[in-house]
Amino acid sequence: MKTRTAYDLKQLDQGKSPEQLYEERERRVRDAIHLKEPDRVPVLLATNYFPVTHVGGITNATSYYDWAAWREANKKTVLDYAPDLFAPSGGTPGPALGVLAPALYKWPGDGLGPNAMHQYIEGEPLKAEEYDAFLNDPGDWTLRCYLPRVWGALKPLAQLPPLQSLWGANALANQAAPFAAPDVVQAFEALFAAGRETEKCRLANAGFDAEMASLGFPPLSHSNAAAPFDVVSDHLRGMAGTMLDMYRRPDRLLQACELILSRSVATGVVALKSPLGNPKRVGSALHRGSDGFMSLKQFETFYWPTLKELILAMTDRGMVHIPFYEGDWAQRLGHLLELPRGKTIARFALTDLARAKAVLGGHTCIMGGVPHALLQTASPPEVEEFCLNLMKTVGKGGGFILSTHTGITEEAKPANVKAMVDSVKKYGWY
Amino acid sequence: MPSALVTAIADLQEDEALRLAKDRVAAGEDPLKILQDARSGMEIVGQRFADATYFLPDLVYAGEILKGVSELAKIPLAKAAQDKRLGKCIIGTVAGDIHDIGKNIVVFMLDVSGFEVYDLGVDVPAEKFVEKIRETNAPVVGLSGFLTLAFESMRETVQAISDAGLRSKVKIMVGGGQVDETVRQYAKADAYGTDAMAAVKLSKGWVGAK
Repeated sequence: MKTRTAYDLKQLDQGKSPEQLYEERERRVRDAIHLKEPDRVPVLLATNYFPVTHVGGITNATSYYDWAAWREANKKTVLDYAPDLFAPSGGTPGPALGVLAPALYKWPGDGLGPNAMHQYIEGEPLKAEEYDAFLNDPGDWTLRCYLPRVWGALKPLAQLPPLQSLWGANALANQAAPFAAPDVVQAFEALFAAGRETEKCRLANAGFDAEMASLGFPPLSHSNAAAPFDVVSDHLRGMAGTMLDMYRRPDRLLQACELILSRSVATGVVALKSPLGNPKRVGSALHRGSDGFMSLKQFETFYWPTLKELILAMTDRGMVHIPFYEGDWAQRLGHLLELPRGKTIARFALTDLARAKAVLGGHTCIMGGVPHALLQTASPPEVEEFCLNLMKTVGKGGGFILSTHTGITEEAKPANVKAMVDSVKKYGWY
Repeated sequence: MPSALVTAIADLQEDEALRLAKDRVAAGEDPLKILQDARSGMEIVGQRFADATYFLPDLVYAGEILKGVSELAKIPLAKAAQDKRLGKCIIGTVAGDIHDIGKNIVVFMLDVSGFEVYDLGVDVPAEKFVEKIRETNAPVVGLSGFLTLAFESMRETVQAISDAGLRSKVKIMVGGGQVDETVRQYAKADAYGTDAMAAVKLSKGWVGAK
């Protein structure tokens, strides 16, 4: 790997148009995906609340309440660090959250201080004995059970008639009385109010990826598709509930994963409509299938089959899937060889990348490498040295994209983030 | 020779374990003895977790089986091992972080392994840890945290314990999420662990138990 001097670093992108830089970056990433040596190692800047620290004068709550400021902060962050790929944390409709009162979510500016991080509360909205109701009619269960449990303002929706009771030419008229109950009316009013707020947020966020692309910066992914097991564990049965289901009702758990699979595919194929991306890229943050969360046998039974099917559904359509293998996947690396060669990016968090390279080298592009703690606690020269080592080992022969273990938060030191991104430009030339 | 109940729990045979417990309760056996067997079964589960035969789902399931047995025996779990406590541990999720799944598993495994555990809950300010150390004289403190902001809180908590003049009296372990050796050094803790059995092993080492 070759080194550029600091002088070259400044000259690197000068005289190139945003279009040229965009294409250059897309090609660099594409070469890495295709397991070739690009001109140099590409780098992903995945940010969480980091723009708060980089830009200054705003808080974590800004992303929930002042979307224009948040958008500007994200834009400035990408422009200043100039990575090959970016993955921001978008604006979130805080006022809509406030109106709907989530039971399982806390966010900066409401309940938590303006500088806190949003946090999820583990719940079990789908009760073990409700699997049949859910599997028979997920829509009805969502409307009358899930929403009332997960949103404080929507509790009254539990009074609505079962959806199938509305089949029939005059059925709704006969069943309409609950819609006039004062608390049900209130719930719908909360939905109207939330909808108006969410629309403001949507408009403020709209077109961010396209804007950044016009400035020369490609986004990491163009759609998302969640692993079916994670949807059950994260959103429906909870971690403990899902784990007990593996023993007490394994068939139901698998049926739920199957039911969710087609819905995850539907969110993933949205990328095909994006004007950006060559190739189109689909992201998936994988939460509860890593080494610590279940045995290999449990993984092979409950987690992997529907995840693999989801990934193949994307790659079969010509898209590149970017499973974010959160946690440690050391024991499962062999399974990734079942995925098509050169059509996914294995984004890792805690997995030892040297080991990953030994298993996946020549088969799957690897992304990751930099522990978040390093950006918080080390000095820029230490970060630089760490990244150089990664490039020499994991980057050898291509097929590697440098990034952090997780989205960069406001605790990271800007000088360290700069050292990380610049390291590829200084040392990462093939 | 372990009793059938010990084996049933160790092997995660829920129906069998509950049937055996029921029979023994019906036969008029001392409920404390039944629960002690259940605990012995859990200790085997813990060992199998430590050697990677078992994983989190197995641990959670074993916990549910144990709960079922203790309900049948009509005796609170904590009572069953009061006679053979290894030592005291204080555990909590540090300030600013409300995650508790990992912390709860650590508390549970320390408890079934014979420790008297003081669970301070989540979002625990540094001074709460200091107060609890003063009150209980516990020699082991576990700081849990999932978020990256927890690293700072861990450091501040260890500092507060030092400032209170208690640092030499306690061993401090950190764990959760992205916690690694870098974080341990940053927080100035004595050790870090990546799972619940690591916490048990560290604690046992520090209190001089096998």
